[in-house]
Amino acid sequence: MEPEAGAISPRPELQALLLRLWERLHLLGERARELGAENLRLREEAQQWRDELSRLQEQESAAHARLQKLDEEVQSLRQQLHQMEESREHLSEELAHLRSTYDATLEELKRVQEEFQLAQQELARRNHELYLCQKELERCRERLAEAQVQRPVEGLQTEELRERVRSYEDTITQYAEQCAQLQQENALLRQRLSQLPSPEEIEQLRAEVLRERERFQQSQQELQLLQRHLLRLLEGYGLSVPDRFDELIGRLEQLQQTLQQGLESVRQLLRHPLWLPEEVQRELVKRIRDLLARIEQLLTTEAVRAGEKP
Amino acid sequence: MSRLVRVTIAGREYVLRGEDEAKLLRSAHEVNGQWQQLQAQMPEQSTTTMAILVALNLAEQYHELRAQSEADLRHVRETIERMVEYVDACLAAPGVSVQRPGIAL
Repeated sequence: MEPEAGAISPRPELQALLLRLWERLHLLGERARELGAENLRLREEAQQWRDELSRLQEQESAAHARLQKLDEEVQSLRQQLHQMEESREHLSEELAHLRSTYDATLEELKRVQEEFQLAQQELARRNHELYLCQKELERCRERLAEAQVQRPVEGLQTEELRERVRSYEDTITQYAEQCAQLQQENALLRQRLSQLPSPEEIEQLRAEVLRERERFQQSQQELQLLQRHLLRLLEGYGLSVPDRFDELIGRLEQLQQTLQQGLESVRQLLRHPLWLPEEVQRELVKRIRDLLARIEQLLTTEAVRAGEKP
Repeated sequence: MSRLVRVTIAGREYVLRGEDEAKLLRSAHEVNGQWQQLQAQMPEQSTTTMAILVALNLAEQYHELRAQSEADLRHVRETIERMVEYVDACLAAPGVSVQRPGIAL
């Protein structure tokens, strides 16, 4: 039996095995360090994505507010368009009524003036006849006086002369009645002429018709401006130009529905959790960016067109 | 179940009872080998002396193996403790490179 010599070392094969185990463990540690660094990088990237998501949500809110404002503006323009249409129709009817009243008044005035001239001519003719009859009566009276003075006058001639005098007196009375009737008719005509519009009133009526016509044309121009503005809005949103006003309103509602659907899809996308597979995240972010770019392009186009509006 | 095993040690045959026949045969073979080795070196010694010397040799081998085993176990324990410290350091600071500890060979 030999004496024990110093401390005993572990067996070399055991040390070699532990050394190999240390090397494997070190490799695992390095791998763990790499994975930890990758984990930190992914966390930072996730935070960046959260910040990007928050920024996109803010942009979505701003775009939504802008779209609501545009929608209100479109509604207001549509109401104005309706009002202008109604006003135009009302003005058109009023203008037609004024024009017909003006034409009828002019016709009546012409007719009354013609009647008045005819009555004046008739009155002058009757006056002339009355004058001639008075002259004849005067001459007959003179002859009667001469006949009464030259006696003896035959009774037959005297009766004949008296008969002629009565006849002339009847004629004169008839003419006097006709003159009185004509004077009454003249008075009636003058009264009717006084009731008709005066030349100043007719001129005023003519000026009013011209003013109404100008208002009508101005209303039509404003209506055309509004329609052009609405059409520019539609073209800005990529819609074709409609032929009728009903179709225009339909296009506006269609545009409103499209924008609402886009906003709803953005909201649906933003409700998804952040930690999705990487392909899904990329697709999600791409769709959100495309949609926001489209909204921004629409808003920019609308802002430019609003700047061009007079 | 214990079995009867027939073995030969120092020229004499013994019938032994044991649970593990193979271990019993290996132990008898070891004792017999020691016996024959000593007898070849010291053929004039008595059977009793030879038996004591064989027992002393076996006891010495037992102590050496025990000391070696304790040294191995201590080395393995210390190494495992350093490995645990290394793993804890790696887990405590993810993403940071941990200095590899010195290895006692």
